[in-house]
Amino acid sequence: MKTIFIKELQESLAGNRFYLIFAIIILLFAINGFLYSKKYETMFNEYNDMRLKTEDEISKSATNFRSLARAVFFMYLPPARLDFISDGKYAELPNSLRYRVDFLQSRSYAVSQNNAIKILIEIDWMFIIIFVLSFLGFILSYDAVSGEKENGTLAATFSNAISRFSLISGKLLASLVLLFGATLTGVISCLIIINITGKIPLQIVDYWKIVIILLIVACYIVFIISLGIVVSMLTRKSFTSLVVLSLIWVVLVIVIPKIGYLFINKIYPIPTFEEIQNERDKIREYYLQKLKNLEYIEFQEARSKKWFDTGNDDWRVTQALFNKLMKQVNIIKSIANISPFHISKSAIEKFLFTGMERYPEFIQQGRTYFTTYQKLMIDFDKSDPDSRHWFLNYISEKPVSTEALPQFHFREPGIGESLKQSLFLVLILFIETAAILTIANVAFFRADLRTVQA
Amino acid sequence: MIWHITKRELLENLISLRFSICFVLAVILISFTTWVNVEDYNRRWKEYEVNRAQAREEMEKITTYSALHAFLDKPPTLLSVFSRGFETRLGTRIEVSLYETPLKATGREMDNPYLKIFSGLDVVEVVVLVFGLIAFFFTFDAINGEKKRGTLKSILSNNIARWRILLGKFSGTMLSLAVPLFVCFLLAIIMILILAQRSLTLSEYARISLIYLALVNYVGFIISLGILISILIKEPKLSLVVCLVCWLFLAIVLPNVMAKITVEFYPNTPYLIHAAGDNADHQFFMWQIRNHFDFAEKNRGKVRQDIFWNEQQYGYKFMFVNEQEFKIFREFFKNEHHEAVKKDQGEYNYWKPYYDDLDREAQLVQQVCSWLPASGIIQFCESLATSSLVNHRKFLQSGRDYKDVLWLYLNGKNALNSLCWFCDDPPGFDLTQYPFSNKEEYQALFRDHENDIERRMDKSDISQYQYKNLNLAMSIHNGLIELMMVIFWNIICFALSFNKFMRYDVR
Repeated sequence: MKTIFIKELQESLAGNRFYLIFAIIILLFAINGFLYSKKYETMFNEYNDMRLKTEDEISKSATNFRSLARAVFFMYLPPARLDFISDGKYAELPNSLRYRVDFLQSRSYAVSQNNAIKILIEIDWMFIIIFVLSFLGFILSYDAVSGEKENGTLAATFSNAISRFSLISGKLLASLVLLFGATLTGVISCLIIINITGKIPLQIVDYWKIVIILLIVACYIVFIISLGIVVSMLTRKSFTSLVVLSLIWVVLVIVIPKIGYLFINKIYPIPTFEEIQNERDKIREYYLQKLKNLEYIEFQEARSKKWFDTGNDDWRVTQALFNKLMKQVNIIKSIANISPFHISKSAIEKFLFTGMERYPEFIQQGRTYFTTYQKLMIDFDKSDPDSRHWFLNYISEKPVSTEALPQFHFREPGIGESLKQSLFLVLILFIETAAILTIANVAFFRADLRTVQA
Repeated sequence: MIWHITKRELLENLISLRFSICFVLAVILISFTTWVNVEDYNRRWKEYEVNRAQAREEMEKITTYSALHAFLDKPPTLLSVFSRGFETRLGTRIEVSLYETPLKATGREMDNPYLKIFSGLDVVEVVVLVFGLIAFFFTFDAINGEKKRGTLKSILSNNIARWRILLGKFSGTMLSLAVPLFVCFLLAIIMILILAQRSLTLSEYARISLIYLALVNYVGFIISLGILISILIKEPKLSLVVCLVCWLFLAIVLPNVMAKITVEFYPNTPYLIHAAGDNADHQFFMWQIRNHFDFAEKNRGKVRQDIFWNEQQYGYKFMFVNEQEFKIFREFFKNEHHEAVKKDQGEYNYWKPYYDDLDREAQLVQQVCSWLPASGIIQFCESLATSSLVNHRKFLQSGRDYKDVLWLYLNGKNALNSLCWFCDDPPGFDLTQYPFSNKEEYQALFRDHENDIERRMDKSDISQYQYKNLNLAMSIHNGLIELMMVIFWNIICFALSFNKFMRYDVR
């Protein structure tokens, strides 16, 4: 096996193919490093400016509890440091929550969004791995068996005392080392660029995450090469093998991930805008009816309660809709996960908590913060004997200490939590890789290895 | 002789396995994409009709001049089945009111905003991806393969010029791709005719034909490039690898990388920062409140305070206004009008540079990408399919123009000086006929009048909004540079192939 491994390695290093692959990977990783350093800086500055503005507004309003309670503030979702690995189109997603003591609302627009620009794919590591690495992996492995059959070297190899398992393992290992080596070099060059520019403050935990991602990528590379070898075994000519692999690539990388999106409104329709609006109107109407024909004090107390009840019910409608919208997103992703290529992307996205994984977490953390904020505000008002506790009109007018008010900070999940989230998908990827490896071995044991005419 | 080589190439390609596999894949993908996109079109068309009906109903409800407003809807284009462009990304509805100059269109409320992270497929994209790949499969060994097999030497031993061989190979491959592409287009048209809510117009047939020709031109460029690579690289295996890498870069990597680089290095003001600086609306609101209080104080006893606050989202709607109140209100609303115009102008001037900046950024991205054949051809097809950015800009402009139409209509009626500006009492209405004894009676009368069709102002002479797409000549004009770029690359590749092949060592 060692001899085969060294022979394959030497052959690849002597040819032009590997250097072409190497150059492409390094170039793309370098572009990624430069682009995301710039992007993160822009997004973080924007986020920071808005966060400071909100803090400033809170401290200004805190001089009087009543004005603080009546003021509307925002919680912002910070950009992820590891966006350069898996962007998940952060800039296309909403990034803030609007809140007052009696309501919490999600907003629909995002930071620095320009809808008139159509960028279908972000140049993140996922793009390089899913689109480019897989393609280059096929280019590296398409003639692993069929090429040798054409040259007649396969039959010659087996005239020596060598097992089929050693041959296929040697080939696989050599391709893995080459492709993973190129990827690793690309990753290092990208990290060097990020560190030199200094725009993304990477922490130790981020490097650990990168190490885990590299392990997933290694598994993914094994999958690609095994698939390449299987197709190369099943086809008589290396040219046919490359044609078949290219078509498999088009279907698995481009077509299947889009199927869910194209069909989603048939598979899982969402309520219309009018339906949602009607539900909201019903809530408002219900509370307005309750206020009718009440005496002054009863009216004020009921109205005060109405602020909170309407806010809660409104949030319930928002949340129900949000869950449905998320279900649509998850269905599309699940359909895309039929493609083994996409599974690694989903696993890494889950692991890093970027893109669409990050947003529901933000909503959840925002809701938790809001509940604390609301409770604190009500308690503060209760503690004031001069207040009539009629939100939002006749309440305390005392100053509030800003230190007593909690600040919203998005908590990034720890490495263990992230791993737990992505474990299922990583396992599927491992199982698929093991399956294709087994198929490659079985097929090679049964393969007709006689020389064919090119 | 060219025809002989063309025929040979054509037959060779047609009987090959790669042709069958690729053709089947292309047919499946195109029929699938067409079906999904036609369904989407039908959905959008239904949505458009619902919106139109709502807009008409809304217009019917308007009873005073100051409340005049309109919702303008852009009909979906059937050709978006071929090229979706910006059709589903940018809004299709503009809200036009008297004191708000439209700067952007609103989105589709029925859609899931989180689906923006995904992208669909259209016929043009499938052709660019799949037919581009097939063209490379057919040409990667056009010259070096023949050389390796020794057939090139045999062909050249006959009395045949080299350029004829090259031209024959080009036209043979082109024919073997243009015909299947034509079949795919035919299939797409039949599916549209069967499934779509409406049939195609003559102009749309012309546009589809032009899209087809543009795509044939793109395929021609890939064929030229494939032939060039097969001349430059001796080994067919390596030339196939190079061709595939070229395809990956031309169709997927470069368009996205170029767009991304342009976006990242284009200096624009972030939305939230810009929005945070805008307090014109708030200031106007505060001005209005102050003004209303001043007015109420000044005219205490002269007008009924309760009706004065009857302010709606668009304009005012008062009832039972007497002669004295009318005179007082007229002066007040004239003043209010000037302030609202000032506010609208201020807000427009504040936001216009921001939206212009976004537009410039998008335009720059398109210009940079138009150098790339794949992006260029997609942009040209978007232009023909009337789903391009230019069409969206035209829609926005038509919204701004319609606001002027509304003002012209009001000026023609001397609306600002009339009672109908803020009151929907019928002509000759006399409040003294209604001796209210209590509040309930007044409210009951108010409710009756709310539903009184007589009180509604006559709007039959307001010119109706009708969105018109750019005509065919303008669509071609808008995408001409992109098309020229693809033709340019096609000629360059073919000329280089010619140049290299004339000096090619066939041994």
